[in-house]
Amino acid sequence: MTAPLDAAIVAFTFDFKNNGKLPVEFVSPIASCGCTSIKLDKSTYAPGESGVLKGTYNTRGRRGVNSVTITAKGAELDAGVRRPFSDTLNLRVVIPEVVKISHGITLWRMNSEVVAKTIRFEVNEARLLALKLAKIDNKNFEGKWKEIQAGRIYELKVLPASTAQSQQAMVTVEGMDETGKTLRFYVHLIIR
Amino acid sequence: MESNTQMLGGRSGRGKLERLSLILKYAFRSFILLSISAGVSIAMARLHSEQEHFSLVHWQIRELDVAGLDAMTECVVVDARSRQLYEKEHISGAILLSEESWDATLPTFLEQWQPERPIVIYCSGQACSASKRVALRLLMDLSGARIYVLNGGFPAWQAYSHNRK
Repeated sequence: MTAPLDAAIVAFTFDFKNNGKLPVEFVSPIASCGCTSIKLDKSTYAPGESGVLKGTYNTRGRRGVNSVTITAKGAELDAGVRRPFSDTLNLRVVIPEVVKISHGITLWRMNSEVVAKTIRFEVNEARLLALKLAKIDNKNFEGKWKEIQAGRIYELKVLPASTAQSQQAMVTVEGMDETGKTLRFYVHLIIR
Repeated sequence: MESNTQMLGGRSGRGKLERLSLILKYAFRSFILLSISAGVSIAMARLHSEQEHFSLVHWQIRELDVAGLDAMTECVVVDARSRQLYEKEHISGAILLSEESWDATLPTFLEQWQPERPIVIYCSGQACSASKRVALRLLMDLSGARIYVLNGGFPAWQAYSHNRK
């Protein structure tokens, strides 16, 4: 599934049916990532009975293709005898980025030639976003902001004053969405 | 003979035309098929560009077992689990760097990291993917960095530490 742009939480469901001849009892399913919470409406399902496993996926900080394995353990109930089973489900969530940054970490090697590096910001094609350079928190770095395509593509050219010392900085880029909410994006500059 | 030749010549001319039209028909079909497959490829590439980029750098991630980590003298150990789990317990000296709080935790990691220091990343165990995902994100920007993912994650380290006592 693909998460909607900007969605913090994505809901999903897995439908299932007890195709066996015995009732089954589930213990709580476990996800391989703490970002996923899951629950079943009830624990025991009769033969032929259908159910739905409902869950939510927290997209916070994540991007791209994310895979989560959900392990559903339980037992078939055979006249007082429990026959354990385990099934796995694979959840795949594609999280689109609002802004794609070419170099989230931009690195200069210490004592290397002092050259400018260009960082490209591409706004997701589903929206327009006017971005601007808000701050570089270290005076050793100078930034030049350029709009390449209005609302879509921007470039930041960063030049360190020197590469003689180990340093780092955080660049803040801001944009306002259609609802007036300020969105912030960060780039980390380091000299090592 | 003459008329036969002419007849044959006439048949041969039609045959050439038929062959030509057949070639053109196949060429047109091939062009259509190629255009469709090119369109599909472009669409797939757009849809999965990030995934492909991930797979390009994926081979650069190496695996390390807990004994290997124990033997390492100079490395940055990264905990890719949630802040909650990190605060509860973590490998001594490990730095929190989770996707959930990427921009907040990255500066501390970068302060510790030097290009010559390998990075060892762990998460909650064999089934978790957080360590690999953090490794991929770092590799995309820190090209050339030596990055390892700890086999078995935090539970393997706990078991190893327990057995050593």
